[in-house]
Amino acid sequence: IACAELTQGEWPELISLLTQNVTNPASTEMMKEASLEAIGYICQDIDPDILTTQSNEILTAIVHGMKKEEPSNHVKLAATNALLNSLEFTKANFDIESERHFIMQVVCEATQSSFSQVRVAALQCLVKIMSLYYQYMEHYMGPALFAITMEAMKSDIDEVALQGIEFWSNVCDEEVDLAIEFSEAQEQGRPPERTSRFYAKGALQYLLPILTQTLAKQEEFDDDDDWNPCKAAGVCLMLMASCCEDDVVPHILPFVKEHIKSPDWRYRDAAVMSFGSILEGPNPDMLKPIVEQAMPMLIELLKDPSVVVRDTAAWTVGRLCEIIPEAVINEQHLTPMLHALVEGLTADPRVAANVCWAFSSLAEAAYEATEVADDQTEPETYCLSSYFEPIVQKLLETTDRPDGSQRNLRSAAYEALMEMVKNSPKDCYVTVQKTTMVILERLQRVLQMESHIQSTSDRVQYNDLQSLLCATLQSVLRKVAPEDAPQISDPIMTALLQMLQTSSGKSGGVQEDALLAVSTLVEVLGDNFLKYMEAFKPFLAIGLKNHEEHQVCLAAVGLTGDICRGLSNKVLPYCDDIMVMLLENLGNDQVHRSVKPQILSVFGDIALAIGPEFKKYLDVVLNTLQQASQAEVVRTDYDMIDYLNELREGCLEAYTGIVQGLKGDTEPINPDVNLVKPFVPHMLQFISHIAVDEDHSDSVIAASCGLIGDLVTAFKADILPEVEKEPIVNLLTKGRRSKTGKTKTLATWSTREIRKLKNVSW
Amino acid sequence: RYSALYKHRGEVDRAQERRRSALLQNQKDKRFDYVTLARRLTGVGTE
Repeated sequence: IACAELTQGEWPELISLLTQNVTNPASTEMMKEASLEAIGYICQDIDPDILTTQSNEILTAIVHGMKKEEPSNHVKLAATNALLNSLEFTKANFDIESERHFIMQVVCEATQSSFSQVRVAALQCLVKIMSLYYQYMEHYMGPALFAITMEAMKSDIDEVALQGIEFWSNVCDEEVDLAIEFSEAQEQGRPPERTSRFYAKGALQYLLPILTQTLAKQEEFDDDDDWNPCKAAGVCLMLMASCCEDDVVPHILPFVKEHIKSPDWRYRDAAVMSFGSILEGPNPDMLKPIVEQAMPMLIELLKDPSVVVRDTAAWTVGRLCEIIPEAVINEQHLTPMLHALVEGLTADPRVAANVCWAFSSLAEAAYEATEVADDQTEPETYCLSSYFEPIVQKLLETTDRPDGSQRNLRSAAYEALMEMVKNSPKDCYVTVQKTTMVILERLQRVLQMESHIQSTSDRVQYNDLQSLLCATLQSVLRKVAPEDAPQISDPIMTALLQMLQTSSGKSGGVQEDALLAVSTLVEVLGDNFLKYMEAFKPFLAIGLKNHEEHQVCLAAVGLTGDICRGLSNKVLPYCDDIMVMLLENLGNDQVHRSVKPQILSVFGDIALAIGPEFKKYLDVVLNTLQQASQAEVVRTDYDMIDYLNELREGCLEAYTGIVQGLKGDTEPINPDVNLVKPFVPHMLQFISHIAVDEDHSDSVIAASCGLIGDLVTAFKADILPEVEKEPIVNLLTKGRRSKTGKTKTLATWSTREIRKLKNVSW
Repeated sequence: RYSALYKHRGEVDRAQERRRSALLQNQKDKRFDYVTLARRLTGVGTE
């Protein structure tokens, strides 16, 4: 009730009433506790700004409840929890040294409480204070916080240890941010606003031994979903590595060496986990020789008697394939590692899933490491070529494992397969072709199973499998040579149509994936897709009208754009229906907002595809765009600013498509483009409005620059005075200075077109 | 809060997300690279 009323300026006496209940010596223990709980709940839920003016009163009550002299642990706990919830709006109190000292003293005392719940709550306060008021912590770190949190980390009470670890994880998070801020400031030649005190670096030698010991505190059957000190220590170590970089390595390696062969699996696991956790952060050049030296050991550990150790070893291998692939991709280590990984695919699901991840990363790294001839888009061969077929074969077998539903193994194996195919050179094409047929056959088989589904869990697995097969189909189709595509497109389209037919209304995910697969097919087939349009049209309509599942609708809208680009003017007979549905979606409040910018872009695709035939939609579309381009949002919400940029980009892409489409792609310019002329002043005004908006994104600048050039080439000297006005000139300059190639290209092109025009007019 | 960081849980979900956003990006790139930019750079309407 308080949260509802205080926000409206009502019930002004409430906070005083509650705080008096706490400070009044005559109040009972229960009255104090209940009042502090109420304060805590209010502070937790309310907008912090609303209570700022009463922060003194609230803090006084809280501190009163937390102080040493308070005899009741229940009151202390309620007070400490209330403090935790009020930290956000007590900035003014933290800014005043004496008040800050007092708050910190009370919190630090509470961390020493014999009542562990109070200790935990007080430590939570410290964690939060560290994030919110990092800059004020120097005074307390050495004399208090360091010792308090070290002690907490060593506690036998898990909740206490977790908060101790969390404190240092938070310090790392904060200091990583500060390091980024520092380098940004340096780049811009200004001093940073806040500076790091490098607490993590300073504490390394004391922290790391505790963390590595904590890593060994686990049991074989610990629940995967339970957060415990062992897992928190793993995360803290990773953050330490990101934050302190090279300095972490000499502290960790001795532990790894000492325990990697320990008879106790917990220590072997802690050793591998420590090693895996520090792979990201330190300089890869420094790590590479160490990793190479460790490789035989890691391969051996993939067969450790303990499943926990095997799992961690496979995770470490996966991580190093992702972070330092060059340590694996070399003559000495690649073959033995690949053998070990292929064998690992038959191991326990949790191990095999990590191995799949390793293959995904290896495929990508190996492909990127190849050199491609200037006139080629794809390399001839790469270092995985001779192993490609057996790896793909084994991955296909892995996707079929009866225990594939455990630990995400089936999905991980399909993902690895997709990465292998996506990153394959020319000499692996035969295997890609064979894989395409296997996937198609599986898709057909799966569709026949539809009638056998009995339970909900069967349904979930069946849907997941369909989605994965669609995704894999996309990755193989992208690799299929254009001349091969028509030979396999009939059975593929038949299967996709069947999938859309049976999945209608059952699972948005499957529909979405099927539509995305059709998109890929359109891309591969180009206007050869026309023969499927009649059969496919109803399903496109179902997708476009799926307002409840916006992902499906979005996929259908994107696919509409792909069809326009694929079919070009052959899409004309379908345009009336499509336009009706797109316009209906734009005006419908039920349609998720994320779909709308894409619809605007698709207007551009349609206009480009059908050229002058777009005339009949011109009035309605241009009026719609005019409305959409005037949208504004609340500037405090970053998501809405992103959305506004997307919406504007959609409008600009639509204008571009319309202008280019009507103008035609041959000389002389089609005079139909003059139909747009009455809207040109609005377009330029829209661009000027974007130009002065400090929140504009780089892609909006790119699209604006492109449209300026299009308008100049279409309307020539008539609009020259308009594009020479300051906001547009500044926008073009900003575009030319952009770090993105696309933006630079467009801004330079537009500027050149303007210059050409000026030379002519002179 | 950190469960996604611990080992690589959620990696597969992220892969799916990445794939979808790559597809959307691909649609955008095609619009830009193959259609509008090509027309611009071949110079229809330019002197």
